Amino acid sequence: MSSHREAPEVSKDPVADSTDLYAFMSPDVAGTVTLIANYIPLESPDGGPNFYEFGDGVLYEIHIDNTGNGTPNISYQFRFTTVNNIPTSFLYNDGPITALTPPSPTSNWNRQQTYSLTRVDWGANGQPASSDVLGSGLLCPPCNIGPLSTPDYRALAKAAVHDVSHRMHSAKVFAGQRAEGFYVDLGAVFDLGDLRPFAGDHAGGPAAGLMNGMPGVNSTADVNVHTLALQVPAAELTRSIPTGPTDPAAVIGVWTTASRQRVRIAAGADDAAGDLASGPWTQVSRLGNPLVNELIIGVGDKDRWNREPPVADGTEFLSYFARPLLATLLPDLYPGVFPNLAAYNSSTSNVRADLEAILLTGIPGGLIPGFTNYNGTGVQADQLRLNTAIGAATAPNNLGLLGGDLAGFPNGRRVFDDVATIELRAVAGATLPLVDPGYTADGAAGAVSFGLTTGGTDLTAMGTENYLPKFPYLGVPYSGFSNPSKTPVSVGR
Amino acid sequence: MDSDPSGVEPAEANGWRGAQSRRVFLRRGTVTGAMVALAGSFPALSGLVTTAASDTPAVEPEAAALEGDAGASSLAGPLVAHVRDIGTGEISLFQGEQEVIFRDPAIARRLSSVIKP
Repeated sequence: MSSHREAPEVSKDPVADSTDLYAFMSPDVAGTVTLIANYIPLESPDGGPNFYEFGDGVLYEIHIDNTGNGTPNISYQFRFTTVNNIPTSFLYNDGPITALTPPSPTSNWNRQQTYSLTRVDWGANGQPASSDVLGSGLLCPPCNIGPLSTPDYRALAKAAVHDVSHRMHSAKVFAGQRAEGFYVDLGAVFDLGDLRPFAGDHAGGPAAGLMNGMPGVNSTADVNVHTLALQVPAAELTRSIPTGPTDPAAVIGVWTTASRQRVRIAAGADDAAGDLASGPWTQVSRLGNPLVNELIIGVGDKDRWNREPPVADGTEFLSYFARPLLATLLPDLYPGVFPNLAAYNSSTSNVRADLEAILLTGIPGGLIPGFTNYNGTGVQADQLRLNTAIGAATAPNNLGLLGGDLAGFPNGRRVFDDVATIELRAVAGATLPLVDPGYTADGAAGAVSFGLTTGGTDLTAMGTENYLPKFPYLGVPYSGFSNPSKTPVSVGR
Repeated sequence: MDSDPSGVEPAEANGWRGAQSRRVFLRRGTVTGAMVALAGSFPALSGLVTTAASDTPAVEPEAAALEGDAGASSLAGPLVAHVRDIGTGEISLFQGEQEVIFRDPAIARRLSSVIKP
């Protein structure tokens, strides 16, 4: 998955587990950037009575690097508070939730969350230069329970979109449940790298009765996530007003982190106050580009990667990017399909400068006509880099840059971008000619996919057709009543 | 807790940057102040500190001087001590969103003696 349950430790701490990060120029509000960080993977919509919620003990942050040095210049911090309006009830709600109102003992809604949003601007010394509380007591919507409990869910969610500001900073903000927007065929890819449309070419495919042309299965259809969404004027994120797309000031690097206090003591029977958390915040989850910790970093380093800042990618983790394991596995898993990649891999002096550029520095100018999202410094750090001087596409392509759409991944990331296919093709060698003109990509590198779209212009993605055209862009969450858990169809079962 | 200009980094609660350089050490006087606060938060350790003060003259005067210290007595919430290394006496103290680290082998030994069967 993009970053769902991607590391051993954080997979046991789902409220702190970042799943996806998006950053794009808002298609409907010119001059603004939308930032979305999702947490809590694979929420089953009917997972009550304790439905999903953010962690009170977690500090959620979305960071912006607008100078290219790999460290944050701006951080948006979300802190949550949960109350039991009806502590004697075992239910999430004792009646229909028809309006979004502040916590109250008279509310039908029992388990309710509010949050604060703070913008921190960091000084050159690494300490906060300013800290602005943009909003507090902000209301989250409930989870989407069903027609009896949340009869007009859209209205509840709409009321949870807040316009906040303080001094010279402003934002539109939403925090709450949304439909999962990421799509991938988990069941296949984690079955020894199977791609159902090409399963007949897999080394073990024919013996297992698999064949080419099998349709993909969207494993993340019908599940929800919890979303932190911001819409901010681009001018409040860049270090200066850029003169145009080639101005390094136009590029921002984005990543999200979740942190917990260093000390946690579980409550004993006599501890009425509950668990104790103490000490400074320490990072437990990190996410920039999709699939980095998932498919690039080795399992022995995944937990440490989650604790480290992005600048560690260029030092402690660089070998994973330079010679990713997946690139060496593909020719073995699909014999004869990737001969050029196999030959490239055979030379130990060959490193994947294309992947380093895409994931760690941004793509320098001159490689793709009219495009760059280079950070201007060469500092290697996994960040989602967005050129804010390139406006939203009028005719988007879900393959982003690979589909000729300069406004799509890896120039930031939109909710409908087929990032799993884009990264798979890049790892398979489709982007190597950008940095090594002597390399000819295998034909399959430009064709492999998970089979979850009908083509580049298909922006619905199988099972995720409810994207919204406006903030917060991710769809209305699936309701528990209408969407009990489903098991994707699998071969042989 | 008293802030020590030479040891306690400011505003470390605000984000991840503080996490990269928060292992700081305190001057002796602040160490003792922290010990007093520890006693106040953990009744079971009150006797330990008293004993330590009487058994260890180097500690006792400072501890006595700080018993009425406004910084220590104004601590809100529990104080947690983590003896990282009994041999070197490296101890982390956690309170609120702060962590301070100091070295005092004598305190570390006495704390460890409490936990021994």
